[in-house]
Amino acid sequence: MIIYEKLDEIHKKAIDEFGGALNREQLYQFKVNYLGKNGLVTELMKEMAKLSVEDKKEFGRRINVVKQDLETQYTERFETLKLKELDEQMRRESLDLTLPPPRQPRGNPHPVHRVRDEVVQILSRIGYSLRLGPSIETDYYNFEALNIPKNHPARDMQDTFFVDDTHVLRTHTSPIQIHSLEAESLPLRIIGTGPVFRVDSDISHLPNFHQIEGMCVDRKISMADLKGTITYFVKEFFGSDLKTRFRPSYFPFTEPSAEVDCQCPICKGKGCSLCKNSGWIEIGGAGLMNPKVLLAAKVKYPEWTGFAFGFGLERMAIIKYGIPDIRLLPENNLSFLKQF
Amino acid sequence: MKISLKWLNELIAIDEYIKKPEPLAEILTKAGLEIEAIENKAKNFENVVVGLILEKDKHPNADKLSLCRVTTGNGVVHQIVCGAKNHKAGDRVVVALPGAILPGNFAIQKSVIRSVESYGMLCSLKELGLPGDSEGLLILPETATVGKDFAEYYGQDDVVFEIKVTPNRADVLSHFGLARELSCLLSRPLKEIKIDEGHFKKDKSTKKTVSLVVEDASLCPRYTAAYIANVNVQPSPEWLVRRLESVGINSINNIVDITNYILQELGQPLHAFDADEILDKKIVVGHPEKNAAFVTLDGTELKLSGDELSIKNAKNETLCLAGLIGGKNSGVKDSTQNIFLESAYFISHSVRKSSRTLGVETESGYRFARGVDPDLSLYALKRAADLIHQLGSGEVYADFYDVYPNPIRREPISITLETVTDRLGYEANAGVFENWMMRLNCKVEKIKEGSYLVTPPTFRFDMEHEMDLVEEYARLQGYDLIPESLPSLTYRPLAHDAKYLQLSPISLALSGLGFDEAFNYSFVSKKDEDLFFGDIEKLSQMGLRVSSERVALRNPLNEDLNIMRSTLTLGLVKNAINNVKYGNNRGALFEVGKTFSKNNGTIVEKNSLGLVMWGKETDHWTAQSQVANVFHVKEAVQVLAKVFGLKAYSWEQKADNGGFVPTCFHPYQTAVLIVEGKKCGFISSLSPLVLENEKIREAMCVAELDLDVFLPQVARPVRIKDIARYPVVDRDLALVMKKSQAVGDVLKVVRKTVGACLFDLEVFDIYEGEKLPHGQKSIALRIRYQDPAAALADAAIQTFQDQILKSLSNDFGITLR
Repeated sequence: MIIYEKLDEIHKKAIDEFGGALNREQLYQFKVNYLGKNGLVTELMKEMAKLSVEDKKEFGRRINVVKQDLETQYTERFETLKLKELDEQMRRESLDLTLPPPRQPRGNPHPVHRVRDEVVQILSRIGYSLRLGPSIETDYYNFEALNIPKNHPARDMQDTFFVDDTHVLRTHTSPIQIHSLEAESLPLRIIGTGPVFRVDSDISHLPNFHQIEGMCVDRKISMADLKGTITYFVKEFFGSDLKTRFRPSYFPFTEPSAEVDCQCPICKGKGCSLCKNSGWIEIGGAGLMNPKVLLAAKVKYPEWTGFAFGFGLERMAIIKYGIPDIRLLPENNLSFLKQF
Repeated sequence: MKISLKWLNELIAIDEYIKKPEPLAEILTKAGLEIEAIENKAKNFENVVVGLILEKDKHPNADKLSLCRVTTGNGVVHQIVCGAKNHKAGDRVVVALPGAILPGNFAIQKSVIRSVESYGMLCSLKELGLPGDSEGLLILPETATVGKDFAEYYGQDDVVFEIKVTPNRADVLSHFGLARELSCLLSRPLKEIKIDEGHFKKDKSTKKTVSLVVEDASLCPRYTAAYIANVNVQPSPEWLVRRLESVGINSINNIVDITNYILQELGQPLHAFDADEILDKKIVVGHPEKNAAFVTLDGTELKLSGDELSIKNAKNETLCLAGLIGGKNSGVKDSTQNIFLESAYFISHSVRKSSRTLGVETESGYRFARGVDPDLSLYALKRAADLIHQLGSGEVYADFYDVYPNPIRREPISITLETVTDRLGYEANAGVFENWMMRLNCKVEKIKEGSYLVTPPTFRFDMEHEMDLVEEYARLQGYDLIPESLPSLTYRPLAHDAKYLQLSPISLALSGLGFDEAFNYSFVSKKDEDLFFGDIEKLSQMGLRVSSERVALRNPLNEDLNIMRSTLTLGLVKNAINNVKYGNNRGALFEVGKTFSKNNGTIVEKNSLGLVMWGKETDHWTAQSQVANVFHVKEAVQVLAKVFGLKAYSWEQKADNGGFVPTCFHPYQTAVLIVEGKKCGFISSLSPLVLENEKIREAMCVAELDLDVFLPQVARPVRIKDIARYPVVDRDLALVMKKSQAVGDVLKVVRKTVGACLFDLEVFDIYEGEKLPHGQKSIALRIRYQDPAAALADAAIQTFQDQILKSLSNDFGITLR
């Protein structure tokens, strides 16, 4: 029967053409040519009408086999071509990744504030809460309440900027202690921080710098509590392998008072230029709160006792990041700020 | 304060520490007397010793050199080549051995001079850096011990401590004071200072020679004085000159030097009056007349307030400001013959107040302001009188003044060992406590077991309360003994200050947008602010609380830092300009900080945020360069608004800002932010005038917000709605409108019309040019629709589009392009 031969011929030709298709678009066109509405296979089916019933049945079965085979052939070829085409596309898309990318701007917090936030995090973990205060304080909060009466030699320790007869730029963050004691109930753990001001400007002093301090008021607070707290803090901030050392000192608002040294984080105590070969770096002051300060803030001593400690944020930043000159901090030069 | 260890050694035996001062420094530092520097004079003469020339021969290869064999004791002999001529065998000389470093950083080492080895150098005074006749080698007398360190032999082995004395420890501001402290620390006795009173003239009376009235005993509790006749004002002897020199004091004459010597030795300031200049030989301790003039001995003219305590003559004229400084009218001169020597105890706050208000700072004032021992006055007077007699052959009149109507007694302090234990966190021991208190010269009375009455000595002004004794115990036992513990947390910690909690989101958001954080001083120059802003009050129309009356400093560091800043903008613009000058031609900074103004004379302190952005992106291979413009800072502000949940805000831009905007800003690129009806800051480009004046080519724009108004007082809660999952349909609209048409108003119409179905809205193109009629611009909008409740039909979208166009046409005459 000629129609079977025709079918075989179309089948064979279709397989050849599918196999020779260069891309998926061409392959699809070939598929349309055979299996489409007017495709050769479809056309051949129209001739089925002329056949006898048995032949119709037989031819119908055979044409379906061919159609299925062609669909399978098409799918296989399509997958092959897809991979080939994508492979070519990727070759065309080759990029030189040694080229610099477009720059996405990214900023940083100021190093002093970075240090501040780190300190706040460390002290928050042992129950301290941050309090802020005004930059301009009254003489009472900056001095009198902190046991620095008028015409007391301790006033010489902090050269003060005066605004008027009663107002000064705060010389330390300790007035925050008094504000907190007046406003909050005991027991209390407070961090005070912010800018402070002293008439002092040279290679190692800024007239406007930052302090951070902690205050803890509770029952039976001792020097041991203070030492433990500071040791915890120093290890968290500078590194767990560093020792701390207390030296007796004097601050009007604490007694006993101590200067706190930390083993030099740069040389780990061996001696270097940062610690002037001593192996130790002075990082701040501390002490038990002077009963006069507590009583002035209407805190019942000795029922309640407390300790306080304070650090300079600039100094901590200098130590932590090895900043060579304190004056870089208020310069706001991007060449400096972008290094963080 | 400088302390000479050799001087100290005359008051307490510390010989071993002169050779090795570091351990002593450590002891003092650990006791709270920080040694800031150690000047070890012997260090200059290490490996420099006394030698004896055994043989002197000619150098085989040089006529002008000699070859010496020199012993430095113990049979050690060195071969040394020498160029000097004044030496011979048998002379004792100064030998610098290899390892010595002579002045001028001249290191001595083994060398070969004209083929002959030389193991050191024989020295002249000049080579040793010492004053004196320096021709040839220094030949020492035969008494010089061979092998002895030269520094020790020649008295160049003193060690000077620079001690940082805290304001509470006035008692150690002298060699005697420090010796007393060391006597406690080292448990060694003090050496006795010998005062010869035998020559005091019993037949002559100070009191009968000069009359004295103390008018204000409350400020002058004790006044002692002696009359010394026939003094011989002349240069001081060598020992006195050297001694004063060792602590940095220049010699003047024997009388002045003795007063300085006593000050350094005992810590008691003295004053010597020329007795013949005292009118009617009458001294009054009281107050000067108000506005009285006084000329100090160094010629400074002062006007007195009348509050000062002064030493006056019979005519009420001030001869000396008590405890502070003498007058030109009565000081010791070369011609002085008789002196009236004062040794008094003045109350510290009075001296400090005079010093502060008059701006006079002296060694004497410094000590009185901190506290001088009232028990010392008469003793110091006798010591000085004795020394003057020894030096100047003056006649000391006996019958000294000692006006001390109410002798100062110290009140006992009650303390229990339990208190010491509680405060220090370790067990205090009774024996240890009693021992330290007694070594501190306290009177210790045991009330019962563990309970004491402790009376401190008069010189310890800092010991008043139980905590002062706790401190002494802690300090003397050593802080190293204090254990470490953490106080237990038995209560609920408080929240951080809300203002602090707002800082971190601001910093995080702005860092992400490329802003680095700046920190500027809170003080600026008033002149600069006025120059920059012109009329600064104009900023109040832009949402900043400012005032033309500034918060000024009474004592600024300099005129460039004389007021508290009104804004953050000025500082940030200066930072930007500086950055450009250092090559950072693009960047962005932000600062959060206080700004200051006055409201009816009251100081107002505000929290502000400032932004500055400058320059352009450098050209990049992926994209065209982008100029920093005011829209970047606008976006930064809007991001912050979003971070803090602010929705109800708007921007106000006046059609003609000309007269309203400070001169530093671009009047046509300035807009004010309004939050809930309140102005709270602005965005602006800098005026090209500012940039030209600074020779900056980079564009620059700024923003400043009053955070107290901008930020919500209470944090807005975050509430999340479910997301819609229906398709989003994009429609673009190209609209033609007048150039002056504010696009913000067009966007408002779109938002209002589409309402809840608006997924997003972008302005993706703006065109002004030939293809449009003159004075017109075209805006291309992409409107993205999504119905949150259902798929949006084409017809519904078309209805929105039609409504938008109709409203725009009706409201603004805008047409479709």
